[in-house]
Amino acid sequence: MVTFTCITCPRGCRLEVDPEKKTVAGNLCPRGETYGLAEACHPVRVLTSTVAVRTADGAPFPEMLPVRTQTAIPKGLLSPAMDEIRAITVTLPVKMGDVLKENIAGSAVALIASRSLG
Amino acid sequence: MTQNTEKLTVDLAIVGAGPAGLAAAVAAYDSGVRDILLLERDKEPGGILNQCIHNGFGLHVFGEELTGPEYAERFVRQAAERGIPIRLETMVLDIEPPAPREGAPFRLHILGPLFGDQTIEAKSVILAMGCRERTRGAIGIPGDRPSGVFTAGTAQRLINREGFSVGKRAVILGSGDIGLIMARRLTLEGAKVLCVVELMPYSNGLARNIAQCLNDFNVPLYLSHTVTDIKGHGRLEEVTISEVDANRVPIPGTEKTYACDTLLLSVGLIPENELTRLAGAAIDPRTGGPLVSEDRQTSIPGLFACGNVLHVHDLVDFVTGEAARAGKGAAAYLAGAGQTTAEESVSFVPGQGIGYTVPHMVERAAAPQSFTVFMRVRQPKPDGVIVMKDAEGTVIKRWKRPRLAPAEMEELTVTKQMIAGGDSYTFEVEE
Repeated sequence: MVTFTCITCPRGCRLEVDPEKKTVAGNLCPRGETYGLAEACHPVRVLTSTVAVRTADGAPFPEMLPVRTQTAIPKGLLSPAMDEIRAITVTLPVKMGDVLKENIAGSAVALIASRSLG
Repeated sequence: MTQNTEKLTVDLAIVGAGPAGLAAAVAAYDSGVRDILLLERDKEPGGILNQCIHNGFGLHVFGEELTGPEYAERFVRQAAERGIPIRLETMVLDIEPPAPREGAPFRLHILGPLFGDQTIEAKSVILAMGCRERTRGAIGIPGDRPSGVFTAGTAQRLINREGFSVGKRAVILGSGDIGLIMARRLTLEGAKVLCVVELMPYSNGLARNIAQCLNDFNVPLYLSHTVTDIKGHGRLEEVTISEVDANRVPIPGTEKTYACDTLLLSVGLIPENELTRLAGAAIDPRTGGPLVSEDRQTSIPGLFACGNVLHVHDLVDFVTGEAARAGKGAAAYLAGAGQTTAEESVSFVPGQGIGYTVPHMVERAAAPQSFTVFMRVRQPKPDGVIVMKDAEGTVIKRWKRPRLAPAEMEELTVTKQMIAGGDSYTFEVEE
């Protein structure tokens, strides 16, 4: 039996997960069951960060662009994904949801823009 | 977005185009108000959400997990689709309440680089100025005054929007959500977060942020501890933390020192109510925001408030809901402007174990069939019960909660039927 705090919503249910029997207790909604089972065998997180921005004519833009992984990626890939994110510079204009890099850190998940800019 | 600086009279002026102001504007428009003006001091709308790049917003409102900028952009788009104008880089300096004559407007003195100073006349005003952070000065940490001591929100802005690194080795004081989120953010950006220090014996952040921001990255959390000394010449060099006793007094001999170049303070938020006070609205000393009725109208008819200027929320989703209520309230006020009704009001009183309630009252005749009363408990309690009692002490309703915590705002649904019999009701945590 392992215990986790569910991070799916602000309620933060205390989950008791049995990875053998694949049972979850303590969750107040079905999301908790999904999260609890995933957390026990294959923990994943949505990664959010920022990337540098250049204007269309190549000048540095004074603001960063917020980005996120489209869906959650394995926890172990957070650090390699950050290394890849640090190397990215995007050129304006950007639309919210634009894919900035496919398959970030080999996760098969895309990195997307969290806002429109420019 | 238009920046029409000629138009100086409106039906509804909204101060602040963050999540509260935007949602209030959209709701007022959808309730029939067409002449709306949003006033925003920043260069763009969206407020603090623009720097909250982490996910976890919108589960209630949109049924999905969004980042702060995504949540903001959806509301900016909704306002734009309705053609609601926003004046940017516009500071509201003062709000004069209406002169005591029929139909007199509020007068808002504003200042901005495009137009200098102007006065806007509005029949109704919604206050949505948000809140600001408590600083080192407010909590009186002794020691040197080097650089490297930031409020957590300032550090968040410097890192997430402006792309600066604030330091390499950090201690964070305060385990509110911003402190926890910044512990993760600094770690992901390559800094070492040595510990998060919390004065209280429990965290004031959401449980999920302890899990995903501290536990995921092995950042220790020291409860019942505080920062008792800061050393550094030019730049911060060393922070001392001490354990505190039950009265939150540091215990001599428990000092631990950390060599670090950064100290982040996440030690509370203060509703920003200078304009509210200038307008003359009554303030609740418990929340630091105005007293409001269920429609979020302050003690001054036609002046409404919503979001963190009213009380500090932990979820933007709740801000959106509350702002929509204020927007509808302003629309109803404008639709009936001129008629004055002396309605009977029912008041809500925070009793044993409850820090405050919002709203503070409800107009009986105008009360919706059911509405939400927000409140915060004073102490954490597992398996708690909040009870609503009438003036005679009769229990009207009990709400069971698997966990009560000051960090988690409670939202209780009250029906018109429940307040039918009296004019004052108390909310308490059951012993």
